Amino acid sequence: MQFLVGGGLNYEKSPLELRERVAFRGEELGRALPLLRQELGLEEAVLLSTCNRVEYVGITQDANRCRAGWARFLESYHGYPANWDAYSQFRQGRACIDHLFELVSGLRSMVIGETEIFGQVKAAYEAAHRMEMTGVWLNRLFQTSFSAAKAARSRTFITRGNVSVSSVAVELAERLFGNLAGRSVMVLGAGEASEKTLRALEGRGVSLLLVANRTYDRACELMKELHGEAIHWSEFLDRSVSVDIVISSTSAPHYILTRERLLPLLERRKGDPLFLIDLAVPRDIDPSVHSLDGVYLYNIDDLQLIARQNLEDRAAEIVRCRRLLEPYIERFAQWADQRQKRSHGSDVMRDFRTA
Amino acid sequence: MEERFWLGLAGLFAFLGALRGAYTLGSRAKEGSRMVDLFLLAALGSQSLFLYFRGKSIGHCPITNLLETVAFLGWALLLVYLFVGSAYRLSVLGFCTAPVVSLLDFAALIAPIDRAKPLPKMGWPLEVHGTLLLLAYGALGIGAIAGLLYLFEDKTLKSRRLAGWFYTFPALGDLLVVQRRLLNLGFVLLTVGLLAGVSLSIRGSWDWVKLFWSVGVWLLYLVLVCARSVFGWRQRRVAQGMVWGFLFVMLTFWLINNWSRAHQFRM
Repeated sequence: MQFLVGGGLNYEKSPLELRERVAFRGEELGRALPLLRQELGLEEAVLLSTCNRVEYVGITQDANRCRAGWARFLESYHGYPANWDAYSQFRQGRACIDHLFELVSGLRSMVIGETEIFGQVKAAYEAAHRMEMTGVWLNRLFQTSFSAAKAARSRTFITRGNVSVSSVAVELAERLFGNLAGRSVMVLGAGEASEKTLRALEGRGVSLLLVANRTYDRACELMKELHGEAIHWSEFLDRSVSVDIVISSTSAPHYILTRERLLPLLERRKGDPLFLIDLAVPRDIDPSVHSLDGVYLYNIDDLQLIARQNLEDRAAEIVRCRRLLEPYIERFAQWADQRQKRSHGSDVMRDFRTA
Repeated sequence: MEERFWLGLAGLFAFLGALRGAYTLGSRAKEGSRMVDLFLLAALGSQSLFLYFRGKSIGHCPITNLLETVAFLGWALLLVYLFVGSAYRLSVLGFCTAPVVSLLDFAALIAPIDRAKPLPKMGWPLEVHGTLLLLAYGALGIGAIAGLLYLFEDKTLKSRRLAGWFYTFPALGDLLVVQRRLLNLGFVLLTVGLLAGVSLSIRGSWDWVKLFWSVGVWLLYLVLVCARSVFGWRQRRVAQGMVWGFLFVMLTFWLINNWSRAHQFRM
């Protein structure tokens, strides 16, 4: 009799201090997967290791041996003894399928809806497939889960809206200008926060990057990495006329961009929108400029609020996502049932719940 | 009767497009826009057949009465949307165009405005005059819809509450480009169409009511075209101008034509 099993450590139940001790690098899978198969008594096996989880999925004849073998496997591979059973989860049958489908769709991620997990699971599956560790069951299971995740991502808003400050800023810029290719950005203050946002914007094809810093050398240093232009602090106001996005993150104790300084610039811009991102605390840009036509000012609190709201919106999409995954799970279950009848003895879909 | 069937079918397709668009927005599905475009394409086909058959039966470009004019305007709106919507991938414009065209078509069919009115024999300049002006209103109409969406996006960005439809609607910058291009295109068509009208008036008689109204409309759009460069208007004001301007044209069109001697859609 064959069982579909899965389990391991994840951020919900095990602390980072433990997870980091048992993480597997890609090149380690060649040694880890055969050992996992041996210790857990698996006929097919996939091992997934990311910063948030170390998990396995497999087919076994003996579910109890598999459950007991996980701690043994971790200890024998990493040589680090701990009460692994207390931190580990174990699933069987339908619970295992539900978990995998939701995992690939990003519903089980720390940041709900993040898409990186899809690539990570795919890479783990492909590595196992290359090593001939997967067979008819896991091949079908993983392929179906990928199709389900693609459908969930495209038909719901589970991935919509960014959840970090820099990516929210980039998304807002895209909502304002459409394609960012050909747009120009100016950064005031070469701090870490603005550098992150600048890098994210550069990745979207922004054509002109300007950095103005009170210390000119620091601006030059940053621009060496980002292939832009460092300008003197005294020039920033004049150059603002031709840019679309201004990111400010200086340590100035007062506003450096006020309504009075901005108004003459706007006259020269002829109605083109100007996106101001104020990442500084205390703020660099006078909040009253937001009321000017064509000027959109977002400070660090606004961006954080949007990021939080996006995360809540994603969480609200979980129910829709699950409803969308259901037919794919049913389709796999039907296929498994038919195969089970043909092969007499497999009980892969047996409805065990998380132990 | 057969011609009117095609207009009814066009209205039905546009109505189905409007329903699909509303469903796509409501359900926040991502794949509904192609279906809306297909409905609108079908509506354009049916509307074209109506205009073709009507033109064939009257032996003239179908702009001889209010029903034909409204149908022509609906056709122009569909044509401009299908060009602009596919070029800039602004399917949301289609969601708004569909109910407008549907409303125009059904209103034209229900209202007793399909009364034959033989046109004076002034040759092709008369047809060019009518056609260009209706195409201009088509472009300015879609521009007004883009303006409406722009105002919504602007308000949302100003409120900093970015939820709901904000993510479904096109980017502000794209709407801005479309608005500007449609405004310029509409203005050029309007100017050429009115010049054709002036050349006809020189040959015939001056229709002062219509002339004053047309000059007023032309000046309104001239102000909007020059608003940014000459008057330094912000885009929000231009968008408001486009929406109110088009509403003004639509609301006064029938009235002015009723007062006008040369443009009366009556026996």
